[in-house]
Amino acid sequence: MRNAVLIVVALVVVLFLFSRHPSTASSEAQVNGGAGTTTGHLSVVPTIRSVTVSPGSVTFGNCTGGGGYTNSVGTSMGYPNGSCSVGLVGINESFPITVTYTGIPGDVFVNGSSAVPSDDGKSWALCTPNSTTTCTGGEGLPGTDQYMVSNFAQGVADAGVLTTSPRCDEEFNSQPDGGCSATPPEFKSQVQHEGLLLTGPESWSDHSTSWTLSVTWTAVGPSS
Amino acid sequence: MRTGLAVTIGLAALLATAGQPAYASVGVGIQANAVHLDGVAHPGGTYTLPSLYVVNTGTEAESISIQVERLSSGPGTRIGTKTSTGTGTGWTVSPSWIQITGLGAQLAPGGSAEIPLKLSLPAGAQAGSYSSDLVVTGSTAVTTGDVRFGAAAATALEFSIVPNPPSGIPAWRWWVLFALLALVAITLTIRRTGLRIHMELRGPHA
Repeated sequence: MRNAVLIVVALVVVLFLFSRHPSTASSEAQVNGGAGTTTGHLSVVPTIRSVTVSPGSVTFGNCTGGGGYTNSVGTSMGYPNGSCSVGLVGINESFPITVTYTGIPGDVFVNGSSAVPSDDGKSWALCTPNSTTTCTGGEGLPGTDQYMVSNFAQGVADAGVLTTSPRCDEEFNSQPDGGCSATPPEFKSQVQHEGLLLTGPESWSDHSTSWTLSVTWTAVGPSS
Repeated sequence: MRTGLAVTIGLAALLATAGQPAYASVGVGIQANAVHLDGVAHPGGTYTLPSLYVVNTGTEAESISIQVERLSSGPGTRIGTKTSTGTGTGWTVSPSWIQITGLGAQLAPGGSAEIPLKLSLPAGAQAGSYSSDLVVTGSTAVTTGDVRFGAAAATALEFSIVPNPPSGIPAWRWWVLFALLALVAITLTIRRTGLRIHMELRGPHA
């Protein structure tokens, strides 16, 4: 019983000692009166990843190929297997599409879609050589109601063929040998300029002269 | 007069040029951290997932759509198939299990939104770890040009399913069993401490 009393007394003494000795600065503040507030500003790293594509839409041009009365003319693609592009490779090279990745490091994927005619008739399917959606025309070119799109970029030697499912955009990272990794410096942006090359069908079912397709770039995490 | 006309025409041309979609961009941002369900889910249950943060990084108002899919998975991947490719190991999430609301309005340039998500599991859902991607796609109402560009961003979706308790025993019986065990434990504890509780009932005139 006496020990317990001693322990309680000792605890009270310790609490008293530690609670009655505030710093000198705060003592002065109390003496002077009033109160002060300071505002702290804190910056944190970005917690989102994003991709931005500019412009939002384009029109194909530089059309070549086809034959006879259905040869390509200017911005109109011919049959069979005419081709048009957005941008150019070679001497007057240009890459009109700007893809910007922003945020913490990740990858950039890209995919295409079917081409839809203006009368909403029979679409052209996007085909890819040596895949499940293989091109059925001669020499690996698109067959009936098929078409193929590849993208090319500044500083990357080979073009990549688009699929309907998002896949690594091998053109996005020009250093050192292509690839889709996006590692923006200091959590800022990584930019790539790209172009598109379209090869049309060998033959067609729909007679529309205007077709629409879409190409989508996707920002994903690095482990995808 | 001619000068005024020239200025008017110039201004009109400038406005027309500025309005062309060639200067527009389409962009989407998404939270980098995965949408992860705290705790485990049971077959047949419905759970509220953390909401998904999306932002319009383009210059035009955008319509937002969300797909549940497993990016970069192998060609043989099917719903309900266990794979080790893509965003992680485990089962692929069936898109029909995820309920997405709040996608009606367009997102203004620079605008952001928190998209509510719910997980509704069928009674026959397999136990295990599940992993897929939530892919947010932004699209504009641009009607010119024959190639429309889209922007998308993806983040992981993760949760685990554990089996329900054996279906032959109703849940209330588990509660009764738990209560009995708790009563026994309290009784034993009181007896070990030597505490005696004496209860006496007396009438009002005792």
